Amino acid sequence: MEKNMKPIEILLVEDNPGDVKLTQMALQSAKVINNLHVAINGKEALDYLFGGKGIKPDIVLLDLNLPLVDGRDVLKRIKEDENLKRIPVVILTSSKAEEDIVKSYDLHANCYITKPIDLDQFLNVIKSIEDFWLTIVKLPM
Amino acid sequence: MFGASKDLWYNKYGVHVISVIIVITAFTTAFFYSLSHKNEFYEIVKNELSTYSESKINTLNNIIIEKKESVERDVFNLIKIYNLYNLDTLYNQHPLVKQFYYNLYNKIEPDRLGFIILESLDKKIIFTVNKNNLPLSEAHNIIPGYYDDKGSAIWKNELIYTDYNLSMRVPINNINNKVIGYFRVGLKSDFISKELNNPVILGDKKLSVLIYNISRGKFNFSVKNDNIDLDFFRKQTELNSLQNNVGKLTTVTYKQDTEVIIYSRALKNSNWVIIFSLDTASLSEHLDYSKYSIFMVALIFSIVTVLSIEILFKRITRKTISTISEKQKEQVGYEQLKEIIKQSILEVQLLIDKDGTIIVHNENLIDVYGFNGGLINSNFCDLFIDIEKEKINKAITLKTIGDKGVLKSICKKKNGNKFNVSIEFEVYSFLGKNYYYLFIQDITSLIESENKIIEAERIYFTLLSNLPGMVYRSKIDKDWTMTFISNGCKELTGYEPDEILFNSKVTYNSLILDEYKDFVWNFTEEAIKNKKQYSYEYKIKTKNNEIKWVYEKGIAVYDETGMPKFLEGFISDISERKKIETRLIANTEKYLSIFENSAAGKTIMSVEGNFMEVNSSFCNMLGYMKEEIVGKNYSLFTHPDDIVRSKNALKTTIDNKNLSFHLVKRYIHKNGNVIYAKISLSMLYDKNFNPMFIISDVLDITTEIRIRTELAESEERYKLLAESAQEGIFLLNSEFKLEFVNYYAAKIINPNLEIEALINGQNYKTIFNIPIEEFKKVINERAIKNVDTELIINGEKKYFETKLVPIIDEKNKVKSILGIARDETESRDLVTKLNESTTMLNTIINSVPQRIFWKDKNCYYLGCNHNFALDGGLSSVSEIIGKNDYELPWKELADFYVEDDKEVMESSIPMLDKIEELIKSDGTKVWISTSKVPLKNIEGKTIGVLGIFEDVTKKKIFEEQLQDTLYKLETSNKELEQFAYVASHDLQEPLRMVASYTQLLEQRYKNKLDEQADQYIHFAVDGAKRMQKLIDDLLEYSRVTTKGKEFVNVNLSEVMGKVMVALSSKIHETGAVVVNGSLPIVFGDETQIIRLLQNLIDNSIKYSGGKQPTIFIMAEDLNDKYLFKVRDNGIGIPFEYKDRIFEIFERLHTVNEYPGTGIGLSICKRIIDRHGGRIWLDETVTDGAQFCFTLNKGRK
Repeated sequence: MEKNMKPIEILLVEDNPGDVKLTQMALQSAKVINNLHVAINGKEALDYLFGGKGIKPDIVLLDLNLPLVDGRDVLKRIKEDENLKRIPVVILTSSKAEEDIVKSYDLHANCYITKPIDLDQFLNVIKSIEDFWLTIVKLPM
Repeated sequence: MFGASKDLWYNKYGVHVISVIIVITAFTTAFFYSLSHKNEFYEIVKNELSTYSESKINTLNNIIIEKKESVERDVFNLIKIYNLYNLDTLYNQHPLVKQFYYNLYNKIEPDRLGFIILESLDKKIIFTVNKNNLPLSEAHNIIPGYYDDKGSAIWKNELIYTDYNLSMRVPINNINNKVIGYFRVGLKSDFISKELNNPVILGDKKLSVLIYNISRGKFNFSVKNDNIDLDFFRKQTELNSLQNNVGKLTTVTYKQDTEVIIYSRALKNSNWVIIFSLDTASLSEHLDYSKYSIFMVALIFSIVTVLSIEILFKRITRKTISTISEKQKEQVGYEQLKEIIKQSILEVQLLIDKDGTIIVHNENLIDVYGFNGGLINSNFCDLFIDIEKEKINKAITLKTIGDKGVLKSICKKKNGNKFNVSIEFEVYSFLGKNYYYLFIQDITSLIESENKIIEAERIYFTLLSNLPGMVYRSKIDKDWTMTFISNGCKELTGYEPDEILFNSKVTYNSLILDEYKDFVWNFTEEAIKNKKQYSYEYKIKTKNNEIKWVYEKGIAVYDETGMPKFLEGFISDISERKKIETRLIANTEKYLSIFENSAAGKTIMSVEGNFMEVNSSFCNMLGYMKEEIVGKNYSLFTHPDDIVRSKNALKTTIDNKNLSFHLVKRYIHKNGNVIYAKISLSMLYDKNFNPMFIISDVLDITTEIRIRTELAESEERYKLLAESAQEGIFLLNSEFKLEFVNYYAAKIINPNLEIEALINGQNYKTIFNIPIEEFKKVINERAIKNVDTELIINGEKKYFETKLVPIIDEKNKVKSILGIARDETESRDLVTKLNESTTMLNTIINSVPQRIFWKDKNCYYLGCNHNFALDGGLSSVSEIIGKNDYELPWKELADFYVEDDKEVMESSIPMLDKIEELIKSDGTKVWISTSKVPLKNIEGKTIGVLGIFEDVTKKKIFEEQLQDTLYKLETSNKELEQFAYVASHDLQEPLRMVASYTQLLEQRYKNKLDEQADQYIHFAVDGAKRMQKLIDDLLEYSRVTTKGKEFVNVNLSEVMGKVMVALSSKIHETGAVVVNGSLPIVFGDETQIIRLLQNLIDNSIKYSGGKQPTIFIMAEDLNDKYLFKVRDNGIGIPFEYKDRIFEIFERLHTVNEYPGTGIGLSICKRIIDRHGGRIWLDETVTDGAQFCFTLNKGRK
């Protein structure tokens, strides 16, 4: 297990404050040091990413159904942008609809995760994400 | 004068030679004149053509220039208005640009504009605007076009016809008036056709006009005469000769020497050359005319000249001949006279002195007299026969100077032949001496003719006096004025010739009987006109009032001018002859008539039996033409079996010298039929009693023979019939006694008696139970009667129908009654049965609610049932008969019905359940379902059509409503499903919140609050979790139909494999054993079938009740589908719940006992429903549960 001294920048795009809290909680006790930035709708996310003021995240956790600008559009923008397209985007959504899964992968999402109902499971998922993406996987610089 | 027999050659022919020369000269002159005339004419035409063409071309050029200027102006103005000074903007998508082009199009003569091309400065195509492309589409401004080497615009590999229309390049200026690009604008060229309408020069010579595109090699427009060949022109122009000759007048020849004059010029601002041409064929008429007139003039001139020359010349020669002799006389010297005589060619001419010595003579002397050499110095008397010598000598030599005269004498030739001559002589004196000029002419033939005439006259006179009739000469007038009548007149007419001559006492015409007068006059006139002889017979009345037949023959005599002067002829008495003739003619005619017109055949045969004459009747009898019979022997036409008999009969008659005999024999008709003939023959013997001819009468008795035979035959038949009939036949006389009775009748009347006993036995009161009154009625009324009676025969009741016929004798009394009795029992039964069944049929037809009708071949109704009649607005079914659809309330639709009828009848294919409209008698429109079948008779021939229809309006309405409802239902279902899906989906989110935070609460505050709180929290969490599960299940349930995939062939063995994989952990945990037989291929959704099996097996494992789950899966073939059984050894299901278990969320246990939401089986059922199968709990299995379900077989 590598311990990265520099904190991992995580951008969470999620409109439900409840889920935000849960995610925050889960990530607080993570092995890797991370900074969580939250955008509560698509537009905020885009402003953060493209506005020039935000820090370029190392990973993006993206919900699909967002107000203002839809999560799919955010995904598309990220993956089209020269600077941002390498950032892993993990779709984190309550939908398990086939078409959502397909569409997300079409737009080059790195992976698709359905939020479990059960709290423990949810926390496990977040932990898994962290484990996988932040410790096992090599991220581009 | 003296009848010249020889002429000088040049005198005769010289004239004609000169004439020929003149004619030739005249024609040649005319020819050359016409030539020059022709050239002159051509020059005029060419000038006209050039002038005309030039003016037209100038006009056209002016128009073109004008158009160009106008277009330039329009472009300039529009660019200014729209402020499009940048070339880029001109192919932009901006709406203003579109507007610009739209206006440009409308400005530059809307409807005339072909295209607009935008060109760069270096004249490359940027894009094109076509009228069809307005408003512009976006593709244009990306791909440029280009001009090919012919100058045509190519854009997007398509040819834009820059050359077809008149195209002009218009500069586009920017704001500083610098050219930034060009518009190439194409205008249609119809203004040209207007200008060139009906080109004509010199009043009536039609021109052809062609416009030719040099670069494309095509003709755009033409006004052409039929003679002009476009292909020829194409060839010509491709040789570029036309281009070289632009502006010049050229003449070209094509098509068998027809010449065409062409004038061509190029038009401004185009690739066009305009060509005016004139076909010289049209000129040639004009020229021909003048040519002909010139020739005519030449001809007339030459003829006139020739004639005048001929006439003139003849006059000259004549004069010359006559003057010579005078010249001779006047200025002649002796020598000259001698010379002249020597040279003269007329007759024999000589000069003698006073002694008679021949001094000089011409050539003819030698020829005529046959001497070898000359006769100079011999005495001229030697030319004459001895007797004459003296006379001549004296007559001539004693004459003195100045004397002249004519003598006749006889000369002799050297060979001793004598001939008559006439001698003209003249006395001359030279130097004191007398000389005698002699002109000797041979008049032998003349004398001969004279003698002949005298002889003829003598004969004529003799004849005249001895003729039995009269010779006459008469004037040609209505009186027949006689100018000469011979002596026979008295005997013929009773009048003396003097009395008739010159109509002194009577005119000849008055002797002719009135009825012949006109005939004689007309006939004679006709003969005169045709210069022919006339002859005719007519009657005259003599002086003694005797009527005589006379025969006249004569001819007209004509003068030099051809006018008839008088008539000469001969009239003779033919009374006696006429009498005989008349009789003879009458007899012959009569005889011929009898022979020919006799109805019986008549023949005249030679003794050998050859037909010499036959009449038409005989020919018809045998069927041959006269030509086919005459000359042939009778045996050729005789029936072979009768030939010997005929021959023998003939021979016998001749041998016995009989005068006649009779014979019946057979002939063979030309068509092979046998003809029976009765022949009576008469022999004709000559005065030595040798047989000459056989005349026969032939009578055709074929018919008689045939009738007799037939009669005999029919009598036979009739008897036979009477005996074998199944009818009783009897003959009753006036005393009511039986005269005749056949076997059948006898047995019925009295079976105990023999037939013979019945006849003339007792008189019967009743026969066949017919009362005697009926018989009496028949006799009294003399009419046929039919009587029906009942009889008991052998204990059975029988019905008889008897026909009674009165037989009337020659005295017109009824002498007997013929009775024919028929057993009608069976028929009666049949009839009754028929009536019964007919009634039954009618009842059926009229009871059914359907409408039934039947029509004949021509679609006229033969009948129908009651309901149909009602629909048709008729009060009874009988009214329909004979009507057609056009007379019934639905006549608007009649065409369709009749068409169907015809189709069915012709094709013999029934038309079943056709839905169509009908208009009832009250006007309402209804829908009916009609079936029509062809009606056929026993032989299978179609004789009509039978139709049945019923009202399906309600049904149709229901159907439509049903469709409507179905549609609504489907839509609603879909919406519901969508709704269910969306609802479930959106419910997830808040549910998660509740579940998660209550869990958090639980985690955080567990053991910090009291036990109750723990329990509450637990329930809350649990509730949320369950709800989530429920929603999941609901979603899945709805997805069975909304996310159902299309059916394909699914291999169940493979599916089982997947199911086992999906349940592998559970199976492993519980140690479950799953066994399946061979599983077939079914038709369905694989995912769902996996789900189905998974649910069932999952249930079986779940509800195993602690045992090791053992599950069997079996398949059965039910022919049209498969039956599957899933059996386990679990806790089983009580049968009373066999339906509830399939309902959604229905469970038989609590969650504590067995987990689950109760949706598994409902999902199974839904899946099975979707697959069109059935699923149920098998009641026969008690130790565990067995589920059965059906699925459709996989398709090939």
